[in-house]
Amino acid sequence: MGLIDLQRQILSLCFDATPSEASLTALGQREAWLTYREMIRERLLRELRLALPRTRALVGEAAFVAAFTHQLEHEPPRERYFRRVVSGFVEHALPLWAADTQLPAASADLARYELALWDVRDMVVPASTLAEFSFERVAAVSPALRLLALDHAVRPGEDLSARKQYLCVQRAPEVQRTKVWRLTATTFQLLERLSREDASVSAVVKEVARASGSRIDAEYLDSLCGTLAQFLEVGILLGSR
Amino acid sequence: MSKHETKVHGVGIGLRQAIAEPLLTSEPAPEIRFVELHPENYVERGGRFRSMLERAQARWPVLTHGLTLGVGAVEPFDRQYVQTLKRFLAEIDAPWHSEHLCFSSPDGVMLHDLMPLPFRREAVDVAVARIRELRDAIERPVAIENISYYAHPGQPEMSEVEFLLEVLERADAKLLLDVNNVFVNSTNHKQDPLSFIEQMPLERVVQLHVAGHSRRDNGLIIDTHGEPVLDSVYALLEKALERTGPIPVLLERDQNFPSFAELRAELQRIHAIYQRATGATWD
Repeated sequence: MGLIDLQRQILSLCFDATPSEASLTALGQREAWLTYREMIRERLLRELRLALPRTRALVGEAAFVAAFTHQLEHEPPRERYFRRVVSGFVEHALPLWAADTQLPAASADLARYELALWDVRDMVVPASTLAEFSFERVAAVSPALRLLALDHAVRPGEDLSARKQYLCVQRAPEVQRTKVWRLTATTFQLLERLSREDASVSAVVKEVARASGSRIDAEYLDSLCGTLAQFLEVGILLGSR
Repeated sequence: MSKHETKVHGVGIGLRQAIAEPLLTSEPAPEIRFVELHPENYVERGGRFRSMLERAQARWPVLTHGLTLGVGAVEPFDRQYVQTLKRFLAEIDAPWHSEHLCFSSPDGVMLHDLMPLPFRREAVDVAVARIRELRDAIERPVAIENISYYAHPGQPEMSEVEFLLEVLERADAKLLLDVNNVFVNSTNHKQDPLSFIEQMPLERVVQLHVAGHSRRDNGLIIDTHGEPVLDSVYALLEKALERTGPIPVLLERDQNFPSFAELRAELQRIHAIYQRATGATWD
């Protein structure tokens, strides 16, 4: 057997839901290979448990481990940085949990919320060396944040009830810690579009207003300017590109 | 070449979040001369990790030890990551960079562990190609570490020592000799650890690692980095240092952390061994 086939065989032995008896026989030293399998899986699972404690408690250990087992077999981790195995797991688990009517309805939202906290906590917060903010240029949104549109109240102390909410989970530059901002539907749409579109701020504002059926009048503009000023002040917006 | 190349010596410890605060606020001490970190835990990362790195750099030379570029990878390395690594090594002025003689990511799937290569010609060819590729890309010396292995995949064509020596020679690579791994392998596979050490090419050894290990119910000794270093590993370290002379020695501790005072005691013991074995006399 060539080297790559040998490596694939070991990979399957570690990540398949059930280790292949044929592979164990072919490789020999059965106990040692099963030890590798156990150590690798336990290390990954430990990281997931660390990152997603409330999700794990909500869905229960069995569903949590079942999703992990399913992921390893069907969509194994490709993230080089160990800290990022959590995002691969959550992406894989979300549709599984959404389809499981036995699980609490807030499971997927809680996982997304905990993942955002995990992802953001050590993000690089860039220094704001960009051009001054302008409505006629493309906005520079901080890369150190995650925007969440959730259907359940999942923040600590909340009751996980069905309630639409929009959050911005941000690595704040001045304090070097994570802040969670509650947004309105409109400011969420605005920030989400500013993050991904290469259009000027004024073009994005018009698009968001049209989509929400709002009229851009003096009151609208006054509120908008206040929101943007706050975003700039707290480092959600960094300036213009 | 790096300004630190001839300056890194003595005993050091792995920079880990769990011990960062007491380490970074500790008084200067002869038993801590450098720190080592895993670049994967610091690149593309701000916050606490950036702060830890900057504070460590202000006090000590920083050595780097990779976790994910196992040189037994059949496919070429991810160029984007290698370029990221190159920039990071330049930023911290690393005198060399070390990786493991293992595989860890077949077909791009990350096992996040150090998996054993078969002691075969094909694996030698692959490892030599990857080491050269990495050295050319990062433009600084590459050292490879002998890993702990708990099983050998298939039938070997040569011994572990022959495999390691051929890779080092053909790739013209440096060696990070992990003394605990020598002990673990020798115990698990019933070999003579001293004979292994004696066969290593002194001129290639740039660094030593020591660590603790644990025994599982099935009898295997596992390189956990989660226990105190055993007396038998200290003894082996002393033999290795008598041969290599004063090169950096790292205490690896990655889990089950004791108090910092206990770690300091381990470092002081390693420092005493270092002085005794090499004749180094600084305080």
